[in-house]
Amino acid sequence: MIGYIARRLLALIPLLFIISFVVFGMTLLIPGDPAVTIAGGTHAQPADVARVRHELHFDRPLLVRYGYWLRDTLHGDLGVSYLHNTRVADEIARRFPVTLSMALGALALTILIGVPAGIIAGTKPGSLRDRTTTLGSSVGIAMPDFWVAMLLVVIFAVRLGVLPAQGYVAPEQSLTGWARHLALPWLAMGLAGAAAFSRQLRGSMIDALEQDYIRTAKAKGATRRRIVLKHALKNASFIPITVLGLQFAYMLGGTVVLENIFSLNGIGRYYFTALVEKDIPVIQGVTLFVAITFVVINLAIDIAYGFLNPKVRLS
Amino acid sequence: MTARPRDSESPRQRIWRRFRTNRIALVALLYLGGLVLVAIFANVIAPHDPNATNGPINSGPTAQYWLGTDSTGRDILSRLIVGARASLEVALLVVVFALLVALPLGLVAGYSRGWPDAGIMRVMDGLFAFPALTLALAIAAILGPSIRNAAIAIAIPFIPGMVRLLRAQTLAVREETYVEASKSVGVTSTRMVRKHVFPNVASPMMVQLALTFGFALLAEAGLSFLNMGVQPPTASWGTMLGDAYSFILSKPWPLFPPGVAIALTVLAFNLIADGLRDALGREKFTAEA
Repeated sequence: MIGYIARRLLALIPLLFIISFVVFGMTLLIPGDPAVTIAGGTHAQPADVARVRHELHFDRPLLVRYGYWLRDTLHGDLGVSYLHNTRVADEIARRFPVTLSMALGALALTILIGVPAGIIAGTKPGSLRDRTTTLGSSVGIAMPDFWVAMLLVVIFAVRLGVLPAQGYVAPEQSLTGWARHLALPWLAMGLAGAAAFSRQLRGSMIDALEQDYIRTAKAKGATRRRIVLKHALKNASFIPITVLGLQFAYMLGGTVVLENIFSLNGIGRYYFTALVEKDIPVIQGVTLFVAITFVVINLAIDIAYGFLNPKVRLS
Repeated sequence: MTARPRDSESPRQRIWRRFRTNRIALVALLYLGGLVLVAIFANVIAPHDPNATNGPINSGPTAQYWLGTDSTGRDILSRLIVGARASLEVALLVVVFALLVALPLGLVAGYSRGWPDAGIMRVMDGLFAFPALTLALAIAAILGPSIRNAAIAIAIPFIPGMVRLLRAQTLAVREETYVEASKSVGVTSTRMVRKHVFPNVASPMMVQLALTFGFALLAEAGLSFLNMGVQPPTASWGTMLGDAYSFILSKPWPLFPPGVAIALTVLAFNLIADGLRDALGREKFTAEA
């Protein structure tokens, strides 16, 4: 097991390097000269621009700048915003609870809706209940999540007036306020997630129920309930759980459009504002954070698999 | 005589014969065919000038404006029709761009194995670590907003999944005995890929392309909604949602036509993908998400 984890960790090194190249390289390509912006925009004095350029190492070769950036990043220093003079790492830490709150609720809904839907459809493929559920999930996948979000706002915030349309309340302040403000974002994200997840689970359930051990279980006289929930679901859950992990990782990256619609100051909105303002350290910091989150969650899933399935460990 | 595989039919004919029996997929295909015609002849079909602001403000559906008007008095139906063109154009370009990059990469990775494979796949893993919209937004910001750039921005996040699928398929075909046989009689690699690998990879790829088409439409909507894709006043379904968003608290109506259009069209693409998958048999070849 330790060897397996070590191999997994080693495999991350080239991946992390590629991610760092992507993050660093991408931001270099963004048009506009940040030194001019910082030195005062269109009215900037050439001397000031030159000074800023020197301070930010813009006058150094590319590889040297990458080196500086990598060194700072490895020390947990994601730099300072060009426009707001705030530390990027602090800002990410401040906004992460919002995004995490969104992602956790959405994940819970994805499971609560997606698992029963996947079982209902997957245990009787081709039946009416399968076709209805599958059609429902197809429609759920086809609707843009932010459109669903706006419809939810129209129904629950405007027409019925039962839930707030925008804003965020920290759970330490008021737990009900937190849940009420996040209810609509959770629904919008969770419905889309459940639609995708249930389809995945349905496919895996169908495959699992065709396996020999299911026939054996049936022959032994195990109840249908036990066969479905214990034998089939357990074995069918591997790929769906990977998919769920990826979905969760992407959710933690912040959902730019949903955070904008619900005025939630999470990672996604921070990122989007930075893109509009061409605030390069913020863009770098957030993309790096998002990618590392993804890598860590992926690693966690891999290690969990290693625990559960010895075959994975040895391959 | 029982129905037995017809020896004379080509794989393409067989797929089409099976696909045809799926009524839902056929309806979806007809819908898309109609939509493409609407997009091509948009300027002729649109009852009003899509950018003319001389209609009533925020009117619901009337005899003159079948789907009502938006907050600046533009005819929603005309914008929807003309918007179909921009949205489908972006989606088509996304598929073309993604395929142009992914096809050679996937074939090379799968066929060569060794270091080209390792190199290509590590880069793909790196790209995979970024959520699609995060990456697309950054690329859109780099390239500047336009239809072509939006398509490039959306296409790049789709490339890793496509390369993975192509590679896996190529690897599988590579192990087939007929490939081994061809190799033993001295068939060159280029010819092998063209004659044997590519045709076998093409069918499962069609499923993936249909799915990509749908996802590209969703991504276009998101990008244009954030004003990073198709630029106003050009109508696309995404920009229409963006326009509608400003007034959702008082006038939610303009939200519905573009949203329904996107959902129906994405649904159609996904149903076609399902139909194709069934027609191709029960093999598993969709990319893992």
